[in-house]
Amino acid sequence: MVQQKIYFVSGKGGVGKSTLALALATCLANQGQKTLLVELVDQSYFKEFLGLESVSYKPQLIQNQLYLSQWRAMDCLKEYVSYLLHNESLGGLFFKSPAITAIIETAPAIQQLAILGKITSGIRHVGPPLDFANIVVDAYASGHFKALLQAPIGIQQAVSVGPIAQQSRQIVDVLKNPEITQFILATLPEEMPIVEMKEQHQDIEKVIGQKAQIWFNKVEEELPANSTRVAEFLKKKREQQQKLMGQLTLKYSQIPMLYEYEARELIEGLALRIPQ
Amino acid sequence: MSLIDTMISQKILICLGNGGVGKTTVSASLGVVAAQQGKNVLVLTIDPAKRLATALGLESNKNLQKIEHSSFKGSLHVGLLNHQEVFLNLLKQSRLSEESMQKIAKNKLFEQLTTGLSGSQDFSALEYLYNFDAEKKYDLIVLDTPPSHHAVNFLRAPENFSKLFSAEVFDWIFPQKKGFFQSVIATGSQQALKVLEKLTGSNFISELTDFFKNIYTWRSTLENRVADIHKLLHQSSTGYVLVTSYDPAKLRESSRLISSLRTEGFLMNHVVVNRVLPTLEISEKESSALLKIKKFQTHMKNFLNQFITEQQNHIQVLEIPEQVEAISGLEDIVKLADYMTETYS
Repeated sequence: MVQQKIYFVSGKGGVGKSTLALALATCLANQGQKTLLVELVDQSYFKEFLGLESVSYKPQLIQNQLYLSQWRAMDCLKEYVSYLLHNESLGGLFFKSPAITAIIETAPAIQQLAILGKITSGIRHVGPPLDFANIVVDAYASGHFKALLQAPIGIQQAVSVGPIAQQSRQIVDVLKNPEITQFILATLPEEMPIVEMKEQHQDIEKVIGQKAQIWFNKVEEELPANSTRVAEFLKKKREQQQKLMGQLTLKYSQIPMLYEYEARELIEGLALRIPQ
Repeated sequence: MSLIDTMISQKILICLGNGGVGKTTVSASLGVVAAQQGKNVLVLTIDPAKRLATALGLESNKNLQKIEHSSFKGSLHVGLLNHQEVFLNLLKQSRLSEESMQKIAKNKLFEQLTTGLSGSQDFSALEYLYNFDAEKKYDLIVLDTPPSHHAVNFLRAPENFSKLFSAEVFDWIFPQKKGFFQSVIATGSQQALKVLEKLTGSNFISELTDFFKNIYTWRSTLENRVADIHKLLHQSSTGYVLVTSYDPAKLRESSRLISSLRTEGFLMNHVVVNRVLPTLEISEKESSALLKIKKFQTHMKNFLNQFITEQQNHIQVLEIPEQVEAISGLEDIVKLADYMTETYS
């Protein structure tokens, strides 16, 4: 049996992380692999983007082999606490108190651990089975993502024994294993996004020990040679983009700018251009 | 209502929008427009990449600086937000003893709270705004907001943040009463604290109880402040600018955002669509690639027109054309300001 693969898609805010995560998940699903796309935000992005009636914690079928889950930190934590206490109703009671909610808000590391715990739960055989060939996580933007990755490592420093420490160690092992987990950094062929991407690339290498894949989004495609002067702007833009990308010493892939107005057509087009 | 008219009538302009749309650049440009019109302006920015700071030649160790340019009839100042400082200042305004304050400032939870990702950044940006407004030194303050997941959350930040310090939380941690039900609750909270301990390690619990013990007197300061900020946000002299970019998904999101903000009583005056692709005059004979782009532009134009009609002309939509080169200095920002003034008077 093929081992489950986990993909984290991160990058600077606004570069197209969510769109690319969806395109990647669609691409894998179209290849016949049962794939789960996961969003972590409290207010669902994909609900609006895909025009869905609702999104849920439990995986929801979107189309042919592609599923979607919204894993909010609190929901992951609730599930985990119930698991830890071996008691679902007690776990639920615990969270009914707004005081508990408020206190957990002050300690982001707990939430982050819960999310990573859930994402890696299939591989670690903890909790309900995650029967997917791939899990694609539309992860947080740079700063927030760094905190997410550091959480299990930070917690190990504070707590060295007990279930939490054990879980944290397992989680870190999964994240560090390139056979299982891959990191994709979405960026744009522009100065500031490149600077942030480089920093993030360094961070991931430092914290996890992996070299993230770099995907440049919205790269202007080459126009036919006989294009008129009206396309001068696009030509110049393409030149500038290629120049900036050319300065990078790291390996990268390019994803073209697709001028699609409808979400569905955009994703279908992008799914065909996902780097393999 | 033209852009210039708006600026003359507002005391505060809050720029909302998702990450990466160019809020900081637009905020700075709006500040320049006002300074050119003779106003004494302050632009408050969080600018995590310190990119704007570099572009404007700001020194990294100074929080508040004046920017000079020959075209300014008034004056332009830029304030860089330092979250921890904002919170420490807020602490100082409570009746806490010096000792308590020191304890809190050193507390790991306070550290997490003030630099953390729990929406406290949004709160501190508003607190920052409140303080500068109270000084009454400026004709106009432009606030560049942190990149929130959702702009509505930004405006709800004070209420959300103060929930942490509500009476309920305190009573739960330090149950004072001793009746039967209260002792059941006390037992319940003991158990819950034990679970938390299991989750986080005993250090966290002692930090937590310590933190709350010391911060109890901070509550009323915080509650008053939340009420003050709420008033400020709903004043008629506080205007809102939504910054978005030339992207179908983002435009649709902006449309929804404006509606939800309207129901909360926040009136958008302007929407700035940043980095608009210059219109391509394309005949039928062009390549399919160019025709596709033309079709895309037509869709976007129709959407924007529909959008304006739907808002019943309450909103002015400003379109800023895309440039090949990135903004690299004050002159670029002044050029942007000049463009806005010329196009949207």
